[in-house]
Amino acid sequence: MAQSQERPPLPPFDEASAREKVKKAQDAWNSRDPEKVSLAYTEDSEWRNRDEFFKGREEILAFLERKWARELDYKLMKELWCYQGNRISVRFEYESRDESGQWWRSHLHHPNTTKITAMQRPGEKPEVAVEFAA
Amino acid sequence: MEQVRPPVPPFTEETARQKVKAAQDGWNSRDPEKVSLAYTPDSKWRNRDEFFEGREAIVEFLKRKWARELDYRLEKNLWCFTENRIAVRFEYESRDAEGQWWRSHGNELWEFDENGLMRRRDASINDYKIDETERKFR
Repeated sequence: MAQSQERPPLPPFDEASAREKVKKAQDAWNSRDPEKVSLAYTEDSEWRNRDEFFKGREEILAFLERKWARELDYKLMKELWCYQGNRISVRFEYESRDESGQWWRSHLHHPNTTKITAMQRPGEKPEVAVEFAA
Repeated sequence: MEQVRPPVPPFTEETARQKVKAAQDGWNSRDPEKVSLAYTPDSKWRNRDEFFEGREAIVEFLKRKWARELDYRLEKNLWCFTENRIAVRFEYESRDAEGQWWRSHGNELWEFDENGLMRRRDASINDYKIDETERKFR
């Protein structure tokens, strides 16, 4: 039997605990470990990701496995936007490359990802002001 | 002249909802000039994969948008707010020139200046085809 699980920090969030939640999500997603990531969500967690709608950890796992099979060298940064009670809003950007070696930058969750060249990766071209956690 | 667009931050539950409702009504008017006045003259936008700045660019963007998205109808819902920031979820439906209907889901991050004008808007939107009979907004 699955035990009731607790995953601190718990709501209602304040500035510090909201930031902690965002940092934990950033770290977990950067691990690219579907099992580990899925444990942060309720058993029946409801998701919309781009134009896909699904529910529950099993489907989250399947989704993440597909995601990271396609998005290679995935690196993400998440930033707190606002929080209220048990809700948090974040802005995120990530970069990854596809099988052909093309690099992509993705903002929040929309399909119109932007092609970038390897030369435009943060740290290599100063005008691209994106900070990624080390 | 300094423009004030109440309610101004810091927002409360009530004034955040007012901002969301005003934006919903503004966008449903499909009037680019009118909509643009809710933003600061140098408002910074990301819309999908487009990045631009200022009311002129906003008006130009909205004209292109509604020339393509016909019979556009939108609903916005407050997700959360903190001080001068608001996050919303939205859905809209529209049809294209060929008569195909689309539903679009999005998340928007808003930041306001002290006069209640939006100085930053960051929007992520995904579309999928729907049948005319599936329309939620009529």
